[in-house]
Amino acid sequence: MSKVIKVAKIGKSTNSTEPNDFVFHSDYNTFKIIKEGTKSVTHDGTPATQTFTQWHTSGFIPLVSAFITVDGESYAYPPNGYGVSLASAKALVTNGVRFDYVEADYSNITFSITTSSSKNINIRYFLLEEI
Amino acid sequence: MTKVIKVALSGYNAETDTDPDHFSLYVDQATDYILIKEKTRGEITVGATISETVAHGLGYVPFIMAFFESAAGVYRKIHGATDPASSSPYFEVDSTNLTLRNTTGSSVNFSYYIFYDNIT
Repeated sequence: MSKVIKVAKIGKSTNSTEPNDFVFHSDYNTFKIIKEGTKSVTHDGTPATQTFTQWHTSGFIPLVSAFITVDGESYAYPPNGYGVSLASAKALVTNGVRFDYVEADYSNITFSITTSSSKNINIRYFLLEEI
Repeated sequence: MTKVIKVALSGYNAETDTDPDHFSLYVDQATDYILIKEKTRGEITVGATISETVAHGLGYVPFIMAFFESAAGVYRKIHGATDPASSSPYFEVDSTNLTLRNTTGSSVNFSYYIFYDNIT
């Protein structure tokens, strides 16, 4: 007989067959952060698009999530976008720093960032499972 | 009484600590830090300028992670249909299918992960 550990959400039954009724259910894999880290880089703005690499020791191609914070700003944001420094009903002003993408191979994580002026940028990354 | 399963990292007290970063497993009905639940994963090669669909059978829009092979042995996470890199692969998901779209001129390898967690 298979063994199961499960914790239902408040108001839901542990006998439920609906996975969304559980905070945790051992039948379903949940991703583990196998490594996390930070990397601080200076992007001098020339050329505008630059890549920065971080060696990792996973021994496989990891699934990576990453976020950046630009010095002097309090918020972090993921790839495929700019930081937004001002937004209202009529205006959206970005910080001019686009986090293009994050990718990984067996050895390195690569971060691509685009900006036309010098910026100090802090990167936080998480390695999850093997792709 | 709420149900709890907690495994603290070395050096932390599972009975008194409340910072989830100090636990390898933190399951608590009251705080409700839901752990995402993987349903399936797969790899698929999508030909140039076409799409492939993967039926997930959930009947609602699930949480997805997807990646494409940007160069041999290099995988890039996909963040949506408006990737700033031109002609970049992307994905969409509805209550029936995960659709992987290849807008490039050559075939692309995708890896995807479908979770039970409902995002709508």
